Amino acid sequence: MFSNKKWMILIALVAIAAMVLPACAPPATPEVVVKEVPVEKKVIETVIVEKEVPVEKEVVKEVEKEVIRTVVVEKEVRVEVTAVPPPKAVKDTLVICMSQEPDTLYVVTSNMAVQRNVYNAYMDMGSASDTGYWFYTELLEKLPTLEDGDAVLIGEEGPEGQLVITYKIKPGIYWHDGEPLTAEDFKYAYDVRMDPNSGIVSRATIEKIESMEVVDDLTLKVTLKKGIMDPMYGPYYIPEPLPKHALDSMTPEEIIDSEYSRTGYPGVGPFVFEEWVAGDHISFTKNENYFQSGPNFEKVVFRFIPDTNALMAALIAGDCDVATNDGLQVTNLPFLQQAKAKGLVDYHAQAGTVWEHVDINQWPWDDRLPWFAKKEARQALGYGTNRLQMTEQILYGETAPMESWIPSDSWAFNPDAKKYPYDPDKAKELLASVGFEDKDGDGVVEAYGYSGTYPDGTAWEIPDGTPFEVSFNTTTGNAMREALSQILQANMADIGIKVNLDLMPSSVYFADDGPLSQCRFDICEYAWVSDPDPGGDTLWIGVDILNEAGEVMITEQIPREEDDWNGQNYDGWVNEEASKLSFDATNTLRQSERIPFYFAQQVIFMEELPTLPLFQRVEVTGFAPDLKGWVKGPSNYVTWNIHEWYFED
Amino acid sequence: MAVAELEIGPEELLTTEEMSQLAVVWQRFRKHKLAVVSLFLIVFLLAVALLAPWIMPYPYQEIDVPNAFATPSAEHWLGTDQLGRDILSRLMWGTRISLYVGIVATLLGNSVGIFVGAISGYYGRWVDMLLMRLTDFFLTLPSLPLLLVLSVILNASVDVVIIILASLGWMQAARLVRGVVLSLREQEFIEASHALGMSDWKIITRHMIPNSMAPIIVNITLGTGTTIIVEAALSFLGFGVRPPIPSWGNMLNRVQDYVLMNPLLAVYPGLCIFLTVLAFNFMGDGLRDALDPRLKM
Amino acid sequence: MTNYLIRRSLSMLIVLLISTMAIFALLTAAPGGPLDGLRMRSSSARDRVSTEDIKRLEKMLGLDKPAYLRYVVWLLGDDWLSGDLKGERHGVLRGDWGESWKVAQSQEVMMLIKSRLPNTLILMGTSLLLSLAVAIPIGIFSAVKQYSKLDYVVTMGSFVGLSMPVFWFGIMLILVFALKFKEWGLPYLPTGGVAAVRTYVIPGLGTVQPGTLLDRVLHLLMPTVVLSLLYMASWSRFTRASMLEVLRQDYVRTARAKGLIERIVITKHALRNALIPVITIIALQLPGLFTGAIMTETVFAYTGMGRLYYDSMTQSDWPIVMVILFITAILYVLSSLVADVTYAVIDPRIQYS
Repeated sequence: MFSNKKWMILIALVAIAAMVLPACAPPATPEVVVKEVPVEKKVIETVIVEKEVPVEKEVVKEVEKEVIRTVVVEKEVRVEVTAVPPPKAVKDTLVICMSQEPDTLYVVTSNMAVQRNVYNAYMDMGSASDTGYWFYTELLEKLPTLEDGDAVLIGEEGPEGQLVITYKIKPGIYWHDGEPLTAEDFKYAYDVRMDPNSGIVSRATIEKIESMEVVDDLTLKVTLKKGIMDPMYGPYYIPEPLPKHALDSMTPEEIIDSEYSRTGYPGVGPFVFEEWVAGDHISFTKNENYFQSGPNFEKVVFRFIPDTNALMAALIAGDCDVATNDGLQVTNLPFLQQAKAKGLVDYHAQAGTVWEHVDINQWPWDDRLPWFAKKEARQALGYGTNRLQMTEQILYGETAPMESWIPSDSWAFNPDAKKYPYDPDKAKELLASVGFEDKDGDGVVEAYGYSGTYPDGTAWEIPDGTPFEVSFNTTTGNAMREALSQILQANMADIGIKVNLDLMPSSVYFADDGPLSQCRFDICEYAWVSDPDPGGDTLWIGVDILNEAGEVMITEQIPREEDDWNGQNYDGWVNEEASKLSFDATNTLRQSERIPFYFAQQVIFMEELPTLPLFQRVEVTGFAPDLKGWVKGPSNYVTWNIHEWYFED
Repeated sequence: MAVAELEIGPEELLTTEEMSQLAVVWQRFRKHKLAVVSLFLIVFLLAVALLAPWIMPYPYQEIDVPNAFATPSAEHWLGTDQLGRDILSRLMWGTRISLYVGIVATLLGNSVGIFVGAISGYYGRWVDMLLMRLTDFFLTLPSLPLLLVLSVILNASVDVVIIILASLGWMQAARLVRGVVLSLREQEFIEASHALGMSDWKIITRHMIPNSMAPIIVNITLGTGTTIIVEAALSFLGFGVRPPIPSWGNMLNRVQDYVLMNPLLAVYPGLCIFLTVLAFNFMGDGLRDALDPRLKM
Repeated sequence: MTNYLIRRSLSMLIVLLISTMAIFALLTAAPGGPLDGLRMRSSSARDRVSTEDIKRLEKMLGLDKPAYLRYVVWLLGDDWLSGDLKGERHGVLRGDWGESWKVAQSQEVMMLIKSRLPNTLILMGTSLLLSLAVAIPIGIFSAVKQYSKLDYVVTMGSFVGLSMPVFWFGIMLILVFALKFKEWGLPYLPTGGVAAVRTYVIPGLGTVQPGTLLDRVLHLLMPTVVLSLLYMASWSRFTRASMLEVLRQDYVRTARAKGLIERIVITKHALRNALIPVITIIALQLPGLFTGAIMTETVFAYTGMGRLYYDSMTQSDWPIVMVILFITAILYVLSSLVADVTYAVIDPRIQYS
């Protein structure tokens, strides 16, 4: 017989033990999550150290609703940082874990959000989203404004006006190789971006600049083109600088292939590039000559962990000090809460500026039926969708249904527009009011006398007796979207509309010839990534806006084949008044003057409901329990103040 | 006294009863208790699949969101999932898809593979070269782009998924059969069959294929399990069954986001797959023994 | 024999050529490209992407050229073309494997592959060897002792390994051996990655420096176990089935009747022929040494080829995808040859004319 029979048994037992042991692991007991709903006040204080800089605007809005948490006291400029307690070298390496590897460290060509988290380590910002709904700066003395005089309007506000903006750079900032940061670096960055071979993705901003001039080492003057009345004249037109002394021997195309795009060296930030092990991690070491206080670590390492559960495990085990919000999902919250109770982690859940919504096709150009061409049908969709249930169940109540396309804690949000609480009876009434009736008793209503005309005058009609059946598109592989799709389908069935779910992979959904880009959908769901500034012109403008001279200021933004599918008004919403208001809101210089336009537009928007806003996505960032100094708001990147972080004993 | 003068006739002299081929196979099969149990299990699963619409306690798509993640109780024997749907009902409905796809795709793929492999191995020379290079070619095709392209041309229904799965799986069966046939071809009894004037076709079907069934049966058994799981990956990407229709595989997938808080959710569909694969395996064992011409009665 | 090898090599090359064309065609025909969704990535004014922007980027990536031309450029380069078709690419056949479009902008594909390949080879190689060492003896043992209690236990164990989805099993392992063990003060394993990025302390083993052999072994343990279990399950079944088949053959009974020791009966007579199906299966897994294992690498954050392939596929980074698929195709074609040669070695009667 086999003399190693005993070995066979041993191997077999070990193999089996390895399989059985994990199953014997104590199961995670789901705890009853008691949802507390405090009204939390978050105040950002600015400590003015050197100069008395008048604070520009203080828009205080206290929104007290049952589930909304944050109250934001806005101050525009963050001047200087209070002194940070001296670090005790408990741990000297900070590990930040993200879900994806950045495609490059070259800011001009990068197309990924995760790159920004890394960017804050080796660079500082001319202007970036702060923890509220505005912008902050590190490299400039302040963001220029008309009120303070560092931005000047030549002529009247309108098509003949021209903005000239003067940026003053802080003195005493040096690149990692010792050269000083000057206005030349910003001008050079602009020149590179303007080059047709720079590889930059969007030229939307730089094309609005007429000229950029270096006045002196620390002063930059930007002149916008005539008629550009962009209220974002302060934050948008200062490009992220590039080290001219290191790069100008290369053409912009060569920079893409150069060492610079792989290292970001030299930068001006709190950390200096050390190494990039492809696919695994990028590490940076402390910049000893950083112009602000800190940083409080010798080294920072960015790791990439693609699986959410593995990321959470790494965070809880202490292999990661930070798990960024691109990696953690809202479904991780119960586990994080459990771990926090044991003192193993800290986390921060925040409703962000990414908002999920349902686009409603009210002007189909192909042969699909225009079910939602009448506003009553769209309003029925609004009343009939139980959005509160979605946020309670899928998002654990961390956010509330949106009452507008603008987040409720933004300065532009109008709390008095029409609201859509869940009311299926009202939805049924609305459907009945335009002729829908279930005559054959199968639970699905049919159209009777449902006809009208499109904005261009062509008539449309749905034959009598056609059952109300539509298809719903969104992406697969996303637990949140699958869950909300099914809630929506069930809700619609309750009011008599048959919804067929047609989920597809993102590459198909967002393809250039996909259902969204070419408006070949009935209703579809996806998310917009918004800026702190609400914007909205390409989303909602449905008619060409002309000035007094009859020239076109902006064309209608409905994607059609004739205009190469330009525009983001996938709904096909045409409302002249609302379009004008959107244009005015995005082309008025002073924020206080923009508010009435936004408010009025939202009143019309919520009445007509071309798109059904669902909710803001909840962003979850995880932290080691002893890491302090971080501040996370709705739209900023968590590493924005990485130089202030420290480990507490 | 001569035998011929006995009053008993020739029929009574036979000491054993004559049975039909099928009865022989069945009797041998019955000897393996485990195989019989497995057969009943599979019949049971098929019955559940067929009768699911009538025996499900709840409709599989009925959501009850406030009641999500409920623990097993009298109302919900296995509890509820993340949208409050009854897990037991979804498992029952999932049986239909998973068994259908798993069995048909595996059988289809293996049938094609068996013939390609047998012909390739038996005839050799340029036939072998051609068929094997064809097999190699199919092995090099990437499945994901293939699926995406097919989804554009055809609509991504369950039958299309079966064809895709079969076309991704026949190569292994072909190589397996060919390997065995190459070795069998040289044995003496084949030479003898040639001498007896047996046609190629008969040799292939009577000798080659039955003798290569051992690895094929394993391939089919293991293949059923992997096919179920691959089907899940496909539905994850949007092919085959779409939500809310459940299959064991896509129930497994959906659970990924909740697995740390509710590990049991993965165990239910996983257990079903495990039992199915186990049952097929033991049945396969019993079948191979039953069909083996060399085994004495 | 040489005749056969020549014909074989020729047919292999033809298959490779057609394969690359088919793969290229599939990638081109599949919906989705590297510039998808750019228009929809943001609703803010400063990130707006217009049709002109898309056209400009297409030109930079070379996507404005027709598909057949792009294939020729990929294979043979365009530095020999004239006029405005002329470029700087040498083509795959001359060693220019191209640059990534999106996963790692403008970095050479070969460099990306080289950075992951050693990790993959170590992981896959270790798993394959471990599985081999365990699966074949278990399979033989199960066959020799068919229907014994051990046979059933091993059978069930194999199937548990097969039916368990990798993500569930992997996460459970991490939960127990990384999180819980650490909580309970026992020696624990790291949660993932190829190596650590800072020093850590394991009770019983002391301080572990990142990058050392011990560190890498600790990181390799769990993914290897997961992968090996998958292979072991499958291979032991095939071995068992083949052994059972062979053990009933007449020549085995002859050997036994001759009075040979059982062990010699099995290894010298039965095993060789029983191995043919097992060789087939193992040969089909050999390209896996290069392609890695996507799910395992994802769950354990192990930087390998599987993850690279997955990322490039989802982001439509075709230069990387083409190279990976091309090398995989070569490996499949070669593995077929290896299998055929091994058959002939094991069973001398087998001949290819």
